[in-house]
Amino acid sequence: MNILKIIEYLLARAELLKKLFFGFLLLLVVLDVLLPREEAHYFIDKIPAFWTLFTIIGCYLLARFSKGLAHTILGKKEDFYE
Amino acid sequence: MNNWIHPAIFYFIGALFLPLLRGKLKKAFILLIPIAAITTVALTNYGNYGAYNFLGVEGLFGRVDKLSMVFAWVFVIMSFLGALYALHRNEDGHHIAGFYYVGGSLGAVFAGDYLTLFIFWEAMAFSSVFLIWYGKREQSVAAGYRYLLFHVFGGLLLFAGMMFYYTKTGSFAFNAIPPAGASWPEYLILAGFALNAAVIPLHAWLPDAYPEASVEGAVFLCAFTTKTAVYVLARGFSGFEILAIMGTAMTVFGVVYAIIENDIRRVLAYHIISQVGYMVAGVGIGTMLAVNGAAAHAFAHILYKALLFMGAGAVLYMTGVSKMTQLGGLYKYMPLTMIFYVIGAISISGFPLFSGFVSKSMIVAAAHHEGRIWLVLLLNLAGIGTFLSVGLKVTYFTFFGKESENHPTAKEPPANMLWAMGLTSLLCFLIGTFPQTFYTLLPFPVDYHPYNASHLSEMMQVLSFTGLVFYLLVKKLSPDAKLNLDIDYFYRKGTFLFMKLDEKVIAPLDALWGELYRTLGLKALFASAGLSYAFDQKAIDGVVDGTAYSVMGAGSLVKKLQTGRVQTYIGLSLFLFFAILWAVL
Repeated sequence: MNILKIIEYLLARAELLKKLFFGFLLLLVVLDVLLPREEAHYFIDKIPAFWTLFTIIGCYLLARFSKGLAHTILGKKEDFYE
Repeated sequence: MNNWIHPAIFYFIGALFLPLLRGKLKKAFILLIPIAAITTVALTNYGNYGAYNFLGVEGLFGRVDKLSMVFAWVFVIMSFLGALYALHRNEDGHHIAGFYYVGGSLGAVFAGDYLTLFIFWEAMAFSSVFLIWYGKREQSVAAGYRYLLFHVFGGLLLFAGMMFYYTKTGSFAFNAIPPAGASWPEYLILAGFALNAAVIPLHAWLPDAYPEASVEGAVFLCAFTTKTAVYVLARGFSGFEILAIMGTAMTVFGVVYAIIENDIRRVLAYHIISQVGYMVAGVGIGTMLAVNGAAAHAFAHILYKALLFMGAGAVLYMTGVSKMTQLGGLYKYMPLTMIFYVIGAISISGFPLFSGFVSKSMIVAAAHHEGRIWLVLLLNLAGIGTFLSVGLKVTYFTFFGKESENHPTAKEPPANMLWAMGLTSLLCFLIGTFPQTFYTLLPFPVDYHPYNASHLSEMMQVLSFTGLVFYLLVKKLSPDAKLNLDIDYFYRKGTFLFMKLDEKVIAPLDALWGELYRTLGLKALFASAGLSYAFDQKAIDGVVDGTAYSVMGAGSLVKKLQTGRVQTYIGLSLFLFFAILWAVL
C-alpha cells in the first residue's frame, strides 16, 4: 500500500525530520519577531514571540498539572465503581 | 406561508418504513432520508411557519431564520454522514433511534416557543439513550440509565423554568432574554439548557455515557445534544456574563481530563466539553463576532468531532479495544483510518487550511476585541491542550508508539465507514480553505479574515511548540490504565453508599425489628389472646348463655299457653280485654 510506504519512508528518516522541525521552530520565532506591531493594543500583541513563550510554559504546566492530578487524587483502579 | 416542509418529518416518518424494507433497498432508503432532508433545507425560505394554538397557548413549529438555519444545515449534513458510517449495521432499531434523535434536534432548532421546544427536547433524550444501550455492554446499560435520569432532571429544570416564565410574562414565546431583566425563572431555563451543553458542574453525564455507546451511535451523539443546547443558548441567552466565564472554564476543564484519560472515546468525550466551552464562551461574550463564532464553531466542530469519533470507532470496531494502553502501532494496519483521524485532529487543533482555524479563532478574536485578555489566554491554553491530547497523544499512542499484541489481524474498516470519514475530512478541508463561503451561512454579517499574518503566526507558534513540549514530555504523558474521578463520583458513590446504608443499617434494623416482634410481640399477643379467651368464656359466654336460658324459660311458659284450641284463645282474649278495660277505667 502506497500510504504505508510513505509513512515508513518518513519514519526511517526521523532524525532528518527532527532537524527540519527544529529549524521550522526557529523560523517561526524569527518571523514573529519581525512581524509589524502597529495595531498592538494589549501586552499579548506587543511582546515578540509571546505565543512561543506562552506555549512552552503553558503546555508544560498543563501537562504536569493534569498528570499530577491523575496521579494523586483523581486516578483510581479501573473497577472502582463495580 | 404554509408551503414549508419541516425537515424533521422525513426522519420521523421515514424511519418507520425501515422494518418493511430488505437488503440494498433498505440501505438506499437509509441514505435517502437525510438526502431528502438536505434538499428540503436547501429549498427553505426564511419566515415563520406552522403557527398553532393549543388550549389558548400560541405555538410555532417553524421559526426559520439565519441562526436556526446554520444548525439545520449542519444537522442534516451530519445525519447523512452518520447514516453512511452506520450503514453496515443490520439493526433497524439503531437506525430508527438515530433518525428520531436527528428529528428531535431539528424540531428543537426550529421551535419558536418553549412548549414545542420542550417536546422535541425530550424526544432527543429518549431516542438518544437507545444509541447508548446499543453499546450492548453491561456498562452501556447502566450508563444509559444514568444518562436518561440526568436528562430527565434537566428536562424538569427547563419545564419548571418555562412554567414560571409563563406566569411571569404570560407567554411561551422563545426569544432573546435581556441579561438585565433575568430572574430565577430565566435562570432555571438557563440551567436546563446548560445541562445539555455539558456546562460544568452539570457535565458528568457526557463522558460517562458517550464512551459506552455503540461505535456508530457515538458519532451521532457527539453531534446533536450539545450543539442543540448551544443553539438555544445563542437564541435565548446571548450576552450572559456567566456563560463567558463558565465556557472558558469548560475549555480548560475538558482538556485537563482529555490529557489524562486512557480510553480514546473518553478523551474525545471530555474534549467535547472543552470545545462546547468555546461556543458557550462565544455566546456569553455576546457580540456579533462572538455569536457568529459560536455558530461557526458549532458547525465546524460537529464535522471534525464526528470524524474523530468515526476514527476512534473504527479502531474499536476492528480491534475490539479503545484504550491506548492496549493499542499501538496501528499505522501499519489502518493507515487510511489514521490519516482521516489526523485530519480530524488537525482540524480541531486549528491548523491553517482546516476548519478549526477559521471557526475557533472567531471566538478568540471576539474576546480579544473586547479586551478580555484573560479569556484569550485561557482559550489559547485550552487550544494547546487540544492539540496535546486529541492531536498528539491519541495519534501517537494509538497509531504509533509500542506495537500492541491486542490486534494482530486488524485491518481497515468496511468501505462505508471509510467513505464517511473521507467525505467528512473533505468538508473539514473545504471549510478551512474557503472560509468566506462558509461565513455566508452565519447569523450576522461577517467582517473577519482568519488568514492574516499575526493570526497565522500565533497559531503556528502555539501548535509547533506544543509539538516540541510533547516530544520532550512523551514518557511523562504515556496513558495509565486508570479511572479518573469526576463529579459523577458523588451520585455514583452516593447510590453505592445508599445501598451500603441499606445493607449495613436499614436491613439489620429491619431484622432486629422482626426479631423483637417475634419474641416480645408474639408473647404479648399470646398473652392478650389468653386474656380475651378467658373474658370470652367467663363474661361474654355468661351473659349470652344467661340470656339464652331466660329465653328458653319464657318459651316453655308461652308453650303452655298455646294449646291450639280456638275457645281457649277466645277466652284468653276476653280475659285480657276486660283486664285492660278495668285497668283503663
